Amino acid sequence: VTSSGSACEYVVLEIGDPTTRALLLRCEEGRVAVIAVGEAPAADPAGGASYLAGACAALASLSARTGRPPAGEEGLPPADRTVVVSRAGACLSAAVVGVMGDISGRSAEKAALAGGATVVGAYGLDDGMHGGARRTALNSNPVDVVVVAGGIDEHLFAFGGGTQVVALGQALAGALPAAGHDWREFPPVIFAGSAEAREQVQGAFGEYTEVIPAGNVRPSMDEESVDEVADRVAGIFAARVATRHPAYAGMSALAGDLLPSGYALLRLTRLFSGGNLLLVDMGNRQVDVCSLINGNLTRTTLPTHAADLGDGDPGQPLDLERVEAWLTTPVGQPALGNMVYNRRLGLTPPTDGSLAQVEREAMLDRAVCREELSQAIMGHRRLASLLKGVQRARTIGEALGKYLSVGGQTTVDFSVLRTVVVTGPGTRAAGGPWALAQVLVEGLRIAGVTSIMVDRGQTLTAVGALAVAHKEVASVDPFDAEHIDPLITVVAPVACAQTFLGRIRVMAWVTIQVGGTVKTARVLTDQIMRLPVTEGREMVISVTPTPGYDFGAGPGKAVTIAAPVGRLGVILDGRPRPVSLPVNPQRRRETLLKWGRAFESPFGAGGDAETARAADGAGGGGRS
Amino acid sequence: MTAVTRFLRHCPFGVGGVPLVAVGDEVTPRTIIFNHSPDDLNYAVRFDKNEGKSLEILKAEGDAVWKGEAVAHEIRWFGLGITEYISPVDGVIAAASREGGRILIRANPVAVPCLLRGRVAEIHPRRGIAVEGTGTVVKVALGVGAPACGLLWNAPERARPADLPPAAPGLIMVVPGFLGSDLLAAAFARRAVGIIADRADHVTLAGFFREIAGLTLDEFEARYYLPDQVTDRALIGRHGALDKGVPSDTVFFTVMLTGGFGEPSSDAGSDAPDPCRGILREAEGREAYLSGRVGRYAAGRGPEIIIF
Repeated sequence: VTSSGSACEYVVLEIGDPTTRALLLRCEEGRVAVIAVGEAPAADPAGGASYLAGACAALASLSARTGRPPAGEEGLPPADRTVVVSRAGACLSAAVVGVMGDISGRSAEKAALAGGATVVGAYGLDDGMHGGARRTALNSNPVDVVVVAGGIDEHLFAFGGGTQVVALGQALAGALPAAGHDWREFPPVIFAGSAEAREQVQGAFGEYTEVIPAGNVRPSMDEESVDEVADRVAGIFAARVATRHPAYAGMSALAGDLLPSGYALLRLTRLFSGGNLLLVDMGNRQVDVCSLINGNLTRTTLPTHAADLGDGDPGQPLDLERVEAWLTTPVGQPALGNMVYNRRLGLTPPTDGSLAQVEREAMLDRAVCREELSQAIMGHRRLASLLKGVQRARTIGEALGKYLSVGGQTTVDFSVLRTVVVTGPGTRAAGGPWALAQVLVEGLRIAGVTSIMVDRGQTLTAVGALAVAHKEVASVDPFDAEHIDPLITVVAPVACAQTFLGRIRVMAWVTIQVGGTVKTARVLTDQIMRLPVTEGREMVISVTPTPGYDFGAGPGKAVTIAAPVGRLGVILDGRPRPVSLPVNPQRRRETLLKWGRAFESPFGAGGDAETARAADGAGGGGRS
Repeated sequence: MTAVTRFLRHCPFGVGGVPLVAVGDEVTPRTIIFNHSPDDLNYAVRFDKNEGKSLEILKAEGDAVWKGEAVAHEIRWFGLGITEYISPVDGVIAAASREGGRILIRANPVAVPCLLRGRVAEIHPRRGIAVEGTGTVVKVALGVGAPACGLLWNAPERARPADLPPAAPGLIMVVPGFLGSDLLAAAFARRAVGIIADRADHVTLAGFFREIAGLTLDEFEARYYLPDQVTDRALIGRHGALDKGVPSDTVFFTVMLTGGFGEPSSDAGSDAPDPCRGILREAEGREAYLSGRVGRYAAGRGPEIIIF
C-alpha cells in the first residue's frame, strides 16, 4: 500500500554517480522517514550506456530489501510517486550572455546555476573578446540551454539607450552551438532580460531555436530575481535533456518527475528554518555549494571529473602542489598526478594491495577532498556577493580605495553563517568522523562559532527532490534530527589582530554550558584542541575574545550561541584563517601530524597541557 | 579481433559552415565536408594614418594574399630602409585604405575533412552532419586532443625514439606499454597525427599539451624541421580550430591511453595483456579515427578509436 491515511510513500532514484540509489521514503505528519535503500552500480554513460540499467537494478535491490514486488497493489510506489534526481553535471550545461558581465551576466549565471546547470561559458560586452572570437567561443561548446539577460524593465529604450542587449542577441544568434543533448537541434534560449526588448531578442534567436521568455533577472539595478529562470532551466532538463540525451534513455518511463540535483538542493536550502546556512554536496563528479544568507539563495558547482589537460574542461585545474602540501608522506608530483586523475576519471589505479598503499590513498583522498572544497568555497564566495551596479553609500573602506568597485563583496561570511551541512558520497571518502571534520574545517575555511552537521543517510537530496515534485512534502523540515547528525562545533577566529609584540597567545576564553555542567577552555594561537561533549542535545557556547580578535561579533566582542551537541564535541581552533602550512617540509609534516592528532583525540596534542587539564577537570566534575 | 559494428558519428560545423556533401554521399577521411568560413573572420593590418607619401599599398581590393606576403611597404631613411606590412593569413583583400590606416583581409575558408569513412546519413545546416559506416569501435580509458585520422603503425615493445620512422606523416603510433616524454615528443616532431599507448604520466601529458598549445603550423615547421617534409595543411588543426576558437593553422595532436595514468606496478595482476593491444596489432596499416575526449563520465561518448 503506497498511501495509508495521511501517510504516503515515494521512491526517489538518485542517478549520476557511479552507484545508483533507490530510496523508499514515507511522508507522515510533516516528517519524512527513510524506510529502505537499494543500491546498484551504474553503467558508464561515456560508453553510450543509459542510466536505466543501474536504476532498474537499484529498484530490484530495493524490492529485495523490502520484500515488496516492484509493481502492483502491494508493490513499491508507482511511477507517479517516483522521482528521479540526477547529479546532472555535464549533462546540463549552460552558456550565459549578459550585457555587462558583472551585472546582468552575473545574475544570469546565478539563475542558470540555481536551475541545476553547470555554466561552461559566460559572454558579455565587457568580456574582453572581439565579436568574432565571442561567436566562435560560444559555438565551440555544445550546451543544453543559453540564458540571455540584459536591460532593466522600465524605460530601456528611453533616450536612445538599451539597444545593447538586442545587438548582442543579433550578433550571437547565428553562432548558437548544437545542443548538448541532441546535436540535431539548437539549444533553447531563455531570455531573462528587459521585457521591452523581448520581442526583438525573440526575433533574433527565433529563426534558429525556441526562445523561452522569463522574468528579468535584474528588473532594476538594486534587485535580482533568479527563481523563474531557475525553474525554466530545470524544466528544460526534464522536458528535453532527460528525454533526448542518450544517458537518460528510458528513464522517463520510470518516474513522473526528473530533476537536476543542484536545483533540488537549492530548493531544499530554502526550507532551512535556522537562519543562514551553507549546504555542501560532495558528489563523485562535482561539489555543489548552496547558501542561504540573509534570505538570498545561491548555488555554485565545481566539476571534479576533469583530467585538467587543457582540453576545454570546465572548472579550475586542481593545484597539485597544494594537494601535495597536505600529505604527510612525500609522494612526488608525477605519482600524485597519476593517482589523483586515475580516481577522477574512475580508472582502476595500479595497486599492490599493501596496507601502506591503503593508508597512502586515504591520505590522498583527504588532501584532494580538502583542495576541492577549498576551490568550491572560493568559487561560491565569488558568486554569492553584493549586487554590482547599485548606487549605495560607500563605506570608509570603499572610499579609501580598499575595494576596486562598489558592490561585489562576498556575503559568505562566517560571522553570520552558523550552520554548515554536508551531504553526498564524498563525506565517506574523507574517512572517519574526525578526518571528515578536519577536512571540512580546513577545506571550507570555517571560522567563527559554526556547527557542522552531516547528512547521515545521504537523504537530503532525495528529500529535496520530493519537496520540489510533491507539494504535500514541501512542508516537512528536512533538517530535523531524523536526517542530519551534528558532527562538531568549531570555535575559531574570523580575524586576528597583530600587535607590535606579535600575536597575543590567548585568543579567547570559551565557556560551554550543557545542562547544569559548565566547561571552560581557552583558544590559543596556532593551537587546536578538541573538547568532547557527551551529554545533552544542545549546548550554549560563550566566547569572550581577547581585544583584537574577532570570533564573529566584531573585534573583542563576546559571542554567545546555542549549538547542537555533535558527536565530536567542540574544536577550539586557534589557527589564523586561511590556514597556512610551514614551507619547510619537515616542519610541515610535523604540523600536519599534530593537527591530525588534535582532531582525532580529545584534549589532543595540539592543545596546551594547562588548558587540557582545566577542561578535563571541568568535564569531570563541572562547576555549576 | 573485435566484431565490426555499425557506427553513426556526428561531425560538427563551425560558425558559418556550408556543407559540401549531400545525404547518401560516400565519404572518406579526406573528403571535404564543409568550408568553415565565419563571416566575421577578418584580419586587419594596421599602419600609422600619418605615414608619408612613401607608403605604398601593394594589393587592391579582391586580390588574393598569402600568409607572410607583404601587402604594403614604406620606404624610410631616404631609401636606406623599408618597412613591410605582412598579411597574417591566407585570404583576400576586403578593403584597403591609406586614410583609414588599415588593410582588411578576409581569411580564406578552412576546408574541413570528414576524418570518417562511410556514408552521409544526416545533414543539419549550421549544426553538422552524421556519418554512418562500419568499423571496429575500441573504447579506451582516456583521450586528449582533437579528432584525428591516420594509418596505424605499431611500434616494437619498449620502443625508443630511434625506433620510430624518421618521418611519420599521417601515422597513428601505437606504443605498447608506458609512454615516456621522449617518445611522445618524437612522434609529434615526426608529423604523426596521434599516439596510442597503454599508460603515461599525467605530468608528462600536461607538460606536453601546455607546450604545444596554440602552436601554429609555421612555428611547428620551424621548430621541428624535417627535410623534404611539408605538413599536410588539410589535416592539421581540423576540428581543433572549430572546437577551440583558435586560428585555423593551429597544430593539434591526439593522445589515447588504454589503461590510465602511471606505470603499472610489478604485481602479477597488472601484467594481464591489454585486450586493446591485440586489436591494434592486428589492425597494422589500417585507417583509424581517434576521438580524444577527456573524461569517462563526460556527457556523450567517451574517447574511442574506430578502425575502418
